[in-house]
Amino acid sequence: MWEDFAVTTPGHAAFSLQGNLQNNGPTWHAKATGDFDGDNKDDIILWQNDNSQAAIWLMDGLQVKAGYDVAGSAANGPSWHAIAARDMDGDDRADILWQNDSGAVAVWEDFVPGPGSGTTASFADQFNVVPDVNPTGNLYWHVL
Amino acid sequence: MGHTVFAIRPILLQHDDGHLTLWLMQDATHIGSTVAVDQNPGAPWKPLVGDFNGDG
Repeated sequence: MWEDFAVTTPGHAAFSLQGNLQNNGPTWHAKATGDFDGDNKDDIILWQNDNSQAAIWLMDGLQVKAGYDVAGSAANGPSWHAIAARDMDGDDRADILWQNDSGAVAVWEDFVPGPGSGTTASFADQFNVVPDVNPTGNLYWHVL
Repeated sequence: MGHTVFAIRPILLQHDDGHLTLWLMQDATHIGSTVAVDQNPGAPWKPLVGDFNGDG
């Protein structure tokens, strides 16, 4: 992770803080960032491509202050991909936007860590997004 | 001090060789200035942007 961006000379910039986070191996991929716990610091959602498990690291600068497996993500299977972490319901906490290989889209809202000191977290509300019929009627659309 | 605050989010681009460049946006469709990041993480590294320390 690189932090503290600053312009150093006209047209040039640098990040003055750099640190390596823990390495969970090559099957884990950081997919998106967003503030899941509402502390005004972005967190990281990771996805493991050999069992479809999603995980969230709650961040405090260069430190991972807590890590959670996301309950239910592995059961969705490899056709669902976490593609964004945004606040979709206006509660100042990030939600997960999923997209299936079929084009279907779903949103998981209301991050709930725990219970207790456990390492699994869940999302209290999970919705399939039903789009308007697109102009072509075909699955050419991708959420960016 | 030492932090640049952007009214409109800048756009981060990465070259095939790994170099990073920021477009500091004047508005939604116009680039105000271009800033090259002097450090290069290398081509195998792909950036994800976020405010992880809450400094805005």
